[in-house]
Amino acid sequence: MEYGRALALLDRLVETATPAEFDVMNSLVTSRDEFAVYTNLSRRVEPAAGALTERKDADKNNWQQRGFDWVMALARVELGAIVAGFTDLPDPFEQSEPSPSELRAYREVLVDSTRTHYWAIRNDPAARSLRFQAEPQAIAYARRVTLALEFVRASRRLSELQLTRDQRVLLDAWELELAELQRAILYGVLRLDDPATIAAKQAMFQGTCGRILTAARADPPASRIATPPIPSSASIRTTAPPQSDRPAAIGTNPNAASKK
Amino acid sequence: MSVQRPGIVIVSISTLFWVASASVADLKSELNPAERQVVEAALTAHERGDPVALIESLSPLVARVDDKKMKAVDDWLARRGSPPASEILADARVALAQQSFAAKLPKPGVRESLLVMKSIEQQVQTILQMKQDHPAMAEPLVAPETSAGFETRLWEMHVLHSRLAVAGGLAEYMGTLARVFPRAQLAMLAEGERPLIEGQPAALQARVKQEIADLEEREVELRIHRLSFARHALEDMKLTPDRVLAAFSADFDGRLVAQFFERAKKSQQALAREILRDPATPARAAAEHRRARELAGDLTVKANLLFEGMHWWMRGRYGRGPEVGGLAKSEWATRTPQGQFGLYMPIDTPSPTDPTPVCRSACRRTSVVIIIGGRWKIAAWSKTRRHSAAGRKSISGDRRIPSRRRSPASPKQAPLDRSARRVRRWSTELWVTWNTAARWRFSTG
Repeated sequence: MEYGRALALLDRLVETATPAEFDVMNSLVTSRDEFAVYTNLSRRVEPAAGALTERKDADKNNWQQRGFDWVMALARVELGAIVAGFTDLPDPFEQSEPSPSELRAYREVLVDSTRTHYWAIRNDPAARSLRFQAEPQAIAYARRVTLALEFVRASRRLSELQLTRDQRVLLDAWELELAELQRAILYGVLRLDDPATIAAKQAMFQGTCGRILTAARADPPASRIATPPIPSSASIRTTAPPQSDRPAAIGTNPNAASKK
Repeated sequence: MSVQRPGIVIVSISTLFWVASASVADLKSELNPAERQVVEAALTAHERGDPVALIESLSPLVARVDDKKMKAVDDWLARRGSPPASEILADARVALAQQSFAAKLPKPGVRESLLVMKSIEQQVQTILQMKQDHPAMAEPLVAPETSAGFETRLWEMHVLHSRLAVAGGLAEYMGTLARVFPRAQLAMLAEGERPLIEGQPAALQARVKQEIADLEEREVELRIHRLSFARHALEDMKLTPDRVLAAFSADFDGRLVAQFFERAKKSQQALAREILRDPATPARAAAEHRRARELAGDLTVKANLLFEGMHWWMRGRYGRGPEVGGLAKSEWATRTPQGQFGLYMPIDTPSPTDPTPVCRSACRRTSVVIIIGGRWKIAAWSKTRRHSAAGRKSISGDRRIPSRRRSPASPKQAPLDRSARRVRRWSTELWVTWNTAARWRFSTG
């Protein structure tokens, strides 16, 4: 609600203010510390530089950005993330359109968020092994992965023309990997395709996890109903997640089978 | 002297050792493993910002222990860097009372009622004293000379108002506790404790009400001064940041002053301050407001869009919900539109620092404010959901923090690796700071 209201008001301001007024107001925003926005947060979780890594050389402001463009870009990305995580509206990051002047800031914040979410999941031991303590935790991870997927898709859509071939390939690989993980959680862990528990599970998801349910309905794998349903409150361990050739890819812990 | 010195040293060391071992032995003898586990669970709930779990774990213990054991509970909490049980229980009960959940809480026992009421009385008195000592209470009211000065002073008054409103809520809750206090127990109370039940809640409520009224009048007086100041600033037609600020503040103050007089007239409120009692003041303020709007032209609308927009942005970025350790709004928000407005906002305007080097001591608190208020909100939220089931983890989620819970059979903490210890220390410190520093005010819009 907060970011939505902020954007509604600030978008109207951007439409109506003259360039001179906008400059003066921008100077007000720039002068206030509380409106500073930090970028390239993903450098904390990225293990090595990749095709999507921020290429700017040591930022002179130590990745601190100021001004209207950054404030609005952050609000738009936050709003998109909330829509992606808690609704089933299509194209969550296109609910509010950035003005041409803020496009550069928006792209930087969005791609940084994409990298951050992807690498945070990728580095997370629970996501790698698919060993969750209980269903609410698995649902939280499903939501996180769904959100990361939406970030990847939004980044690709926004920067389609600017992306290099390597960047496109990397985004495709990330999407594939996250989609695999999403499937592994939804069907391997949460057993959303199990007729015995589907109604209860769907009721649990209703209201706040619309997009996860949509993903579950859209892509029901036929072969996963064979194993018995998981206990709802006890410690959950996945039923054989899909193995991959990639070592230590998320959701495909090679040790999972031997630990079982 | 040189011959005596080793002897003194030996005696001092022995004494220190004896005192230290005696105090440890004392604590151990007073809290058994099950009780320690309850206190640890309460502490975890406190650090996680989960008032319901805190009350559910600590309240039954407080109801059944004696004073000596209560002291041991407080000592245990103090060693973990936490305020006493009475304070955290009172905080938890009051936080839930503020969100209209008081009726759903387990009823406090006699001891807990007294502890909570004592704590409430102390907190209310502290807030009242804070108001008395504030420079804005000087007589006559001193108007600042710059727009920044006005902004700061009005913000301080707004914070004071929020604190007084909290004090009002506390006093009201104290009254509720006093009403349900078992009458049969009254005779058994010590002399100093009886007023807590009998007269103090009503007296405190009346005092807080009076102080709020006084503060509101002073605020309106200051706004009238700022209205004149802004109108003067708007006479200069050059487009500057000050002009934008003046366009916004003149309109904002003009509306608030008009509303105040209208409300006072409707409720036939007797005003105490001389300038407000002057029958010409409302008309004069309205004229200033009109003139300021004429001078500002359409800049008024644009300045309103700017400052209201940034106000909502600040709520989104720095606001802390009452649930899930600050990461979610209350359940009430899903049921009513009003519920969506309740947020805790930091009292001091935050100055963000780079959130990536999270373990540097200099940026601990603000870093996390940014992480929570910034792009990490959703990720952090989902991880916080994990806290309750899987023990504590870092907000950023990469490093696992072992559960703080100890087995009663083996009270010794399992060894942690270095990074986990570091993150745990950071995380504990963070939540303790949040929960005890009272640097947040409850904002509803």
